[in-house]
Amino acid sequence: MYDILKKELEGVHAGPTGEEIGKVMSIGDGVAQIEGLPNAVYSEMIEVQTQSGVSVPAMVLNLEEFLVGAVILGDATQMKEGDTVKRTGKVLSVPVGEQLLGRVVNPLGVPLDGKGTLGTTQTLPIERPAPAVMDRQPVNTPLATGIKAIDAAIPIGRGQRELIIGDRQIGKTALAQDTILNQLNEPEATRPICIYVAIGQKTSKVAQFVGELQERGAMAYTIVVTANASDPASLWYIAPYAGCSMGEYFRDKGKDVLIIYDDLSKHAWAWRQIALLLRRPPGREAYPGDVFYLHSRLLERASRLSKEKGGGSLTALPIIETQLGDVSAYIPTNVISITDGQIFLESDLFSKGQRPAVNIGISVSRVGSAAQTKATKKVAGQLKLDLAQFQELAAFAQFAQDLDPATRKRIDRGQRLMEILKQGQFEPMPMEEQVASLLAVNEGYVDDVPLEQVRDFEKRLLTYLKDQHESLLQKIRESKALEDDTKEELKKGIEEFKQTYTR
Amino acid sequence: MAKAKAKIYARVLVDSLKEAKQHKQTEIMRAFKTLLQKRGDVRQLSAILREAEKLWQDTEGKLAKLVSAEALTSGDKESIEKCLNKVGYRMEEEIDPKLIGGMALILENSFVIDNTVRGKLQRIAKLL
Repeated sequence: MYDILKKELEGVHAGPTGEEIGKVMSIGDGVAQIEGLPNAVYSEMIEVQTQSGVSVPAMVLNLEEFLVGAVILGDATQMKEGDTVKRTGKVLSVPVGEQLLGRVVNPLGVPLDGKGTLGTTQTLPIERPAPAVMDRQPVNTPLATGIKAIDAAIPIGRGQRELIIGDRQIGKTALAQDTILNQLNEPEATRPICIYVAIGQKTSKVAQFVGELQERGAMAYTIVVTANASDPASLWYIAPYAGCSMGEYFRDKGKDVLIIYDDLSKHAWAWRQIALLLRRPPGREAYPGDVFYLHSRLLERASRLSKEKGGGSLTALPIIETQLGDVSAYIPTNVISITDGQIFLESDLFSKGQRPAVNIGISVSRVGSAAQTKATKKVAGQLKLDLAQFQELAAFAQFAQDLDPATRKRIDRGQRLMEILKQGQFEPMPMEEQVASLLAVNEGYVDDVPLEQVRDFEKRLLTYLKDQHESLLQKIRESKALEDDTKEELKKGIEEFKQTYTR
Repeated sequence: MAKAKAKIYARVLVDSLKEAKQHKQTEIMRAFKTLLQKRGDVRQLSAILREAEKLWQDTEGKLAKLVSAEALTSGDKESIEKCLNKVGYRMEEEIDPKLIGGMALILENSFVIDNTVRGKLQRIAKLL
């Protein structure tokens, strides 16, 4: 600091400088109309010099003949009409780098966790072009979420965009959080870097979220970007783009990145507010005409890069909150059509105690199955078939005594499958354990276990396998495949356990 | 936007007044009034006149505002004014003790050459 001051006083930069300026003509609701700034460019960062001496950052969004419209990215209460505005000559950028890992920052890259400055040297603009066609390769590596229902039936690949959609208070964030926690099960070399972007969330919720990650040691590979409910809409608007640029830094270095946007409904609200205040014409549900492009340009940046480009990936898990399960509203249909599949969470299932409340019937993953591990694929085929048959017959389940034995058996199997797919929060399961417990159901070892004891059976089975057959689990974990001989050994292990269990 | 519209009206008015001869100017003003009535923009008249005044002043030279912390000596003032007149600006002076020291030249509300102590301190603050 001494050196900087000295250099400055020695006159290195202290000479008179020419700057372009403007004047605030009007200000209200976080949007300022500015006269002057003849050469300002779209998305440029500008600074408003308030009378109290504080400079407030803002971003140019409207360029008109005499006026420039800008959204204020800070405290607008200090600004007054007539304040001077200066150009910075930079488009809005955020700091990027390894130093961000484990930190909680706002969308401008200002740390919020009280751990001091970031110490980054590099910045990237928040709006960056998506990778070109030739720079990409198909999704081929799985991204394990640790949730049986998802990894088996709706697998997600690295570089995919999978939407998580459902009503409020149904476990959307919990699902995302479990996915971050499950990356602890990954070997460090291939562990994806996780970025959680909270848009308009309650500060207490974000604090709780960060606390849970910290407690379990998951913050070491995680960045949290948060625009809280009390922050201006302009910060909500730039939050996902800022988080994405932070992720792209790692992606371009050949690493895998997982980014969660929680949630894009609020992001669309923020953009609607800004667009209306900038007097852009409203369209359906009062959203501006470019609300589709708002999300498509963001999600298009998720990609798996080709080997020539380093082979990194950016997986996006956007979250959308629906009102009373209405997925045909404007924003949900937009984001459904942009993403490569969606995970539906249903309040009916949730209230029936099926948690995570994933509706496997209507959830899809359009590219993920190419990325599923061989072992999971082997058990998942049977699972999907059994579940489909069960859902067809589920309506008859209440007339149990009048059913023929074959139907009865299918219903029993289906109920046990549903039971096995239940999973508590903060209990992500490694792939080999998922394979073992799904195999146990598929092969009918659970058929004679009473329904209410299925979860207990699973828990004790996995403990038994971990104690007695660790090498077997390790073999599945390392080869990621379930060869016939391994399968036989595993079945034998389950049989051994079952004798002790029934006894 | 209303502001942009007023500016365009003002520019048209000033340009046609400039081109016209002295005795025709009253006629132009009358025609301008009917034009506003016809287009339903009479309400913007005061804004238009304000803009027109600014533009009219610009025909005598664009505005250059010299802000300094202390009053300049007449010699300094004259030499600066001469330089500005040469490039088509007319000078206006302002004294603002908040600048601490030095001076800044503001050209037409859109460009500033800042050599004040306050400006320098702000630049230092940004570096820290």
